[in-house]
Amino acid sequence: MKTRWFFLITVAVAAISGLLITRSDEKSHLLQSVSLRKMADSLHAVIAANRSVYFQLATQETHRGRMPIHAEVLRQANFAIQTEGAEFSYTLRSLRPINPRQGPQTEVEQRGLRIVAERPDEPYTTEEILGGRSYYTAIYAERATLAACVECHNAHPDSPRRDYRLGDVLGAVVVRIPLEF
Amino acid sequence: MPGTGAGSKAAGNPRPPTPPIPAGPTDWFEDVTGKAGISFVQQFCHERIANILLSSGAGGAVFDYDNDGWVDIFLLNWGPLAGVTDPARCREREPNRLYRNRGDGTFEDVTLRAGLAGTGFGSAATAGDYDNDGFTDLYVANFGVNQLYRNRGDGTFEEIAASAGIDHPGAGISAVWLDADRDGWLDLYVANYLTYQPEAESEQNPGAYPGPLAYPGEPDVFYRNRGDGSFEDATRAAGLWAPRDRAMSISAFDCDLDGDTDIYVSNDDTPNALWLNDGQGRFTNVAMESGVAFNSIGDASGSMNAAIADVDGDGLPDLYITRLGYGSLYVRTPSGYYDDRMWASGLGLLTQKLVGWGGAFLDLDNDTDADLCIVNGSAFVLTGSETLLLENDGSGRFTDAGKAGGAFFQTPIDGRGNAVLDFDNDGRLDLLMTLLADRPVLLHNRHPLDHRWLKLQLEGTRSNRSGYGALITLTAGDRVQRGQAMCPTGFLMQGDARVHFGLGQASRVDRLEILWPSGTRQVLEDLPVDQILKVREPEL
Repeated sequence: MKTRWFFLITVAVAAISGLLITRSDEKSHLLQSVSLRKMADSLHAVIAANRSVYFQLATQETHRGRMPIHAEVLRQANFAIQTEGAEFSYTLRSLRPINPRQGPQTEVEQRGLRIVAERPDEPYTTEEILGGRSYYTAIYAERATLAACVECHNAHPDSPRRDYRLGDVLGAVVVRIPLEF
Repeated sequence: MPGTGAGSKAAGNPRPPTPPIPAGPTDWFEDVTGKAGISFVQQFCHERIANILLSSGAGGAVFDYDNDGWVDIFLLNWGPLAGVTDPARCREREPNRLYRNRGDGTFEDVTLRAGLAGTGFGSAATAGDYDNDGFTDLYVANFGVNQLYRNRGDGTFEEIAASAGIDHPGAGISAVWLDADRDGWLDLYVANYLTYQPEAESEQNPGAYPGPLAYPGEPDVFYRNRGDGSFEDATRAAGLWAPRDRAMSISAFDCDLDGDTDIYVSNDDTPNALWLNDGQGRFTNVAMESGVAFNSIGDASGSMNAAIADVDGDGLPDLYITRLGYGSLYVRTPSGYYDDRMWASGLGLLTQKLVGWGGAFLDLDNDTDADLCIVNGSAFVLTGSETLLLENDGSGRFTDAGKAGGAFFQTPIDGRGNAVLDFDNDGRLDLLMTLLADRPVLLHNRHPLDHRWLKLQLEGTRSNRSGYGALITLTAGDRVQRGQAMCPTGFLMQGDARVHFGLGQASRVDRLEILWPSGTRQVLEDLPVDQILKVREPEL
């Protein structure tokens, strides 16, 4: 019995080592950790971008008698961060988007959106390769937390669904961290 | 020529060059590099990709330097560079190469006779007749001082960058000729990569080299041609000053078909720029509002180059961006906004595992639509990747044609530059690729479909002599195609500047309209197909 366990453990260790060696050979340069400084920089980049985009859009839209749209604030803030040289990105996605460009754009997005729609309390996380670049991808459900969310999504002429209720999943935020460069 | 260095110690390369790749009898493309007499091997001077500059590669240009009607091939070399290459691997630089096309499928090395052996760490070359004397000149972008080779017209060149005022000393990685202000003289846009600092280290990936964001960007330079053989730096005056960009390549084309040349800059880990020309040579970056600054997942991952063609047959020029990261197929809409159809076109899935470098559109079977070839390779290791040959169904949806393309497309290479040419003037578009630390690959197109074609060789009179910037509308039967005469730069390489149209089964071209940059409109009617048509701009 002991011999059998020893054999099984040996095989398992060899298999795991093999996987790690294979991965290390394929992409030995992959990100191994994130420094506290990098995390603080990233958080600050998001805060700074949100502030600046909010003021910019608030000024512009208030002038037109409208409120800035949440999706636009998020989109512009991400672009502002990219312009500053961020090593992460985020975007809004939905299986039933008002703007067709916000539909899923990768296999992982397609799968992750379905999963978080069913289990919105848990983010969906995985690694994906896009254009040869490895990413850590996390998908968080976006719920209709305010009556305004529900009203807007149900009333918008381009909305493909008009029976949203408070608490329903409208879509998701997709966060990506490249694991190389 | 001495010092060919095919995998020799002199080349400082970590491996011998890729051997000839035999094609099967039905393969559409055949590797004819060796058979054609092209023996060049890029001098790498290191055992591995040890830093970001070593990841990029070297290219060249396809142009007819002796006006004999056959395109010639110019290839750039690296050589030792302090802080970048390994001094123990090589001490002496091996030359660039000019291969003269004999017109019988073979080339002769005329580098020394032409005076193009060169110096420096070469990145990219661009060809255009900047002095309108009828002979195509050459500009070389180096990591270091750039060079202008004026074509004397007798088979030789003289290097006159300093006296012309364009001996820019930056991290040159791309350059393009364009007549920005339509004064009949070609101006020059030089793209710089980043300010390389050898001591930079990766903060989070010990042992890996740091990415582009670890280095400051470096501004590109725009030179206005004074028309007297000299240039002035007009970067700020033209509105093109962007000091934080990290360019990888430049494409000059008329994105909105308004008769002037616009500029697209592919940047590394920095948003891309679309510089819209106001017709007077002043530019505004409209990339954000046009939807071409980022990819469809909202990041600015390293862009290598923009291939330009009308992928969906609506007459508007579209862009395919190769990236280390998710690429983009930007399809132009009538509003001027670009719709990124990377996923919907099938390209998202087809390119998912590969790092794309040189991307080039070509109508490989002359069936009137723009197919796509993408050379790939890791940015970190010399392990090789397969090249993608992708066939367009005419609506902008692509499928993998690599199997029919042949053995080459199943062979892993470390691809970088990619240029389209027709070296044997048979009307089937061929490909020339440059590889990292390896020989180039010249692929001869042997596609079995016997479709018709027309190729235009333009000569400007009131416009710039190269004809760059001319807009062409071709009507054959019920099919209308729009093309542009561009200085066809891609990643590191410039391809054949002649304007090629695949015509399918059409037996005549009913109408050909050329809008020259000068504003002259020229119409030709009822033209025979399967010919290279020389068109001279009316002098009025």
